[in-house]
Amino acid sequence: MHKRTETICGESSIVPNFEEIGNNPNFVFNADPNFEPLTLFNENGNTVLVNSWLECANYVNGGWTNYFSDYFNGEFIYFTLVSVSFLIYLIRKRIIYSEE
Amino acid sequence: MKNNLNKTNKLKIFFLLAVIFASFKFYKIPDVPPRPLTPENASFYQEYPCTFTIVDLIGQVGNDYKVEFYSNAEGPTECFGLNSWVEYQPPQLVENGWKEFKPDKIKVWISKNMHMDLLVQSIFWLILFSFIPKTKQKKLYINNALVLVSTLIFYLHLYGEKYFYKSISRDYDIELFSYEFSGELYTENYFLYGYLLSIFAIVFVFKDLVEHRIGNLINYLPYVFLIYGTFSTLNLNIYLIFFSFLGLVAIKSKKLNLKISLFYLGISTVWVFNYTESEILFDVDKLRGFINSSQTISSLIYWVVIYFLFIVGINFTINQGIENFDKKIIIRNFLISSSGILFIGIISSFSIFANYLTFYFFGLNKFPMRSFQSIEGNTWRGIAPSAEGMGEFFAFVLLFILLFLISAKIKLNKYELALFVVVFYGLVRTNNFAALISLLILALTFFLFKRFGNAKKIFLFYLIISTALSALYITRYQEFSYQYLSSAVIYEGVQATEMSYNFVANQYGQTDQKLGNYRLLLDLPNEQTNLSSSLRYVTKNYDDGPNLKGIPSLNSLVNISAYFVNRAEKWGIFLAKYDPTIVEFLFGYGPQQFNEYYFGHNSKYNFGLFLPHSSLFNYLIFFGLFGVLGMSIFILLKFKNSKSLVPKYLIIFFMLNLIKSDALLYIPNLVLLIFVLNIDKLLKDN
Repeated sequence: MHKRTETICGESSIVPNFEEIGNNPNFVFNADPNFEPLTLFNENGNTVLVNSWLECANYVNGGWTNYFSDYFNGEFIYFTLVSVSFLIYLIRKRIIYSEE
Repeated sequence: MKNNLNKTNKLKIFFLLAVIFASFKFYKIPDVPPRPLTPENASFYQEYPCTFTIVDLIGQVGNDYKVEFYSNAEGPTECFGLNSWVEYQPPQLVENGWKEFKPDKIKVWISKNMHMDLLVQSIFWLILFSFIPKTKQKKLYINNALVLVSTLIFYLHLYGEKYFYKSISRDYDIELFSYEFSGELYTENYFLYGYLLSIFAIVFVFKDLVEHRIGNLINYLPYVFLIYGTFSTLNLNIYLIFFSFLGLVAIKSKKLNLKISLFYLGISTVWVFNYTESEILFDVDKLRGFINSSQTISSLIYWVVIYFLFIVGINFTINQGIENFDKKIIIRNFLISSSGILFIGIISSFSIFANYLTFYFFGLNKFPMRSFQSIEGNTWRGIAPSAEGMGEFFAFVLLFILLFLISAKIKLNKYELALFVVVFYGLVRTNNFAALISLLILALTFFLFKRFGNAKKIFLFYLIISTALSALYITRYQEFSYQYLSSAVIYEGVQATEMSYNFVANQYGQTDQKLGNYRLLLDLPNEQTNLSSSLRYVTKNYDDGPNLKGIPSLNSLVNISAYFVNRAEKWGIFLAKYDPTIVEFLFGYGPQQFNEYYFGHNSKYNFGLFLPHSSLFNYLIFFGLFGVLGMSIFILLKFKNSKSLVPKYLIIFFMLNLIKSDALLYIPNLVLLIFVLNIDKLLKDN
């Protein structure tokens, strides 16, 4: 999530404590004039406009994003597909080798 | 056994078709029906990205609008092969045209993804590679550890060329593991794991395939021109992976020239210590796969290593193939490959579908021509990225065959003769006049020498012809004065320079820059004329250099020659941009390093891809004067020590053409040059 936060919200020296934010119902995110407001959405299609890096990081940590493909872990599926295919190749090679 | 072989080949063909079918999701039925590709429906397709396959879209192409397909490198994995964006482009005014418009068109982008490309394209090419027949007598034993080393080298590539990969992948991350904000270990960087595993698998499968085929590889080298091997989105070429791996094998087998390797190591140290990092991204454009994109030390080290391994790998392949080298097979393959380029180019120019598939599965650096009509300069490049480079290849194939035919060492059957004519037609369409002329002169000279065996008479014959032609030109056709011709390149260089000096124009609005007042430009402060170090040196030499009455200087001769080979403007731009320090001039910037040349000095041409149009200049940028001299001496020694006449003629052909073309920036042409430099030993043993 750390990397995804960087990708969506940009880099920051702030080390957020999400647990503390989550446990405090009165926590208010102060708008940062240097942060370009960003619209995030969740899986249900709800949208939110975030005005600071911390607010953005908090939402991203909660599964919100600004890119529709983030809900599909394509790289993981790809990795699994290549791993399985390569394994099949190795097993087949082994069988042919033992037959020879 | 024969039946089994046929069965295997049928299975391979089935797999090739399956890869095409599955990768472009031809089986997919869209959730909403597609609409005709018209300007009004562009917004519909923008609303439904990742929905339609290329077949769905091609079915919607009507006769009213021209539709062109492109690749979008930034697509997510799940959208691979599906529509990404559709846009209507209204008619555009032709540059320098007078009320002349290019027709309007609809542009369609198809999603591509670097991981999927790595998988799909390499499977396709590995299956094609497996068609190369095995050799019975030769088997190579390769240590599996080299596969790992190779993977690490391409990890360095991903790490070094970060600006390129960041621009095409949102998930770019090169850390094997990292930490969450909470301090928890994060080990789910599947972007990197997928990339590394793919490279490992590609090299591993290649290792298995090449072990039994290494002896026969040489006979199938001509196909590097047909299957270009560049990955659609990555700055990577499959031959770079293959041959650099074989380079590692050669090093492991201690089959490399130690002196040359040490010299290369020494010069590499200079490149690394002299390097300045920058956040500039060089737009690799049609050079993709064989040029550095990012100005970082790690990418420089990657290119230093990979270039070396690549060259060693090709040499190793040639040496391993000496016993199996077969003139008949290689000539047949040269003919099939070159005529295949033309045939597929023609098909791709008529069919949108073929155009896209050819681009993708042949690994082209640029989309094939979308029309059979020649373009500016009357050239037609077919599927090649450069008409010039392809023209050289066609001319080379014809010359190669003619030399053997004249020597009566081979005979062509009727099919081969037909293909020979096809290749000649291809050469004519590329409009590479220099390649055609050098082919004709060299073939004629070879014929005359074989027939009469008198070099002096042939020399006299050419002297008379060239003197007569020069006299005819001077008396009848000369357009420009000697003064202009003798400084044509310098003049163009001055025009390409971005000068800040406030010149006063004459009554015709011409400034001293426009008039080419070199003496004044040299006297002005350099901060204001902004002359590059190379242009300043050449201009100073022209202005102050030794002056022998009636005899043109070397500088003037180069300028005049540049004008006649239509290179005055291109080489002038090169001089305006090339601004090396003494160390950079002597040692260069490193292999495939264009960043400093492109962005290091401000000129009127710091945009787009303005190549120097000379492999000599390209290599001067990469390897400096010492490198170019070293290579020249090496080639001269090869020429001198060549036992047969054929390699000598082929070397001359290459040298003549490389001076005025960028061909060595493309992998196939470099492979061909190394093949030519080794041809003598191949013929000697056959």
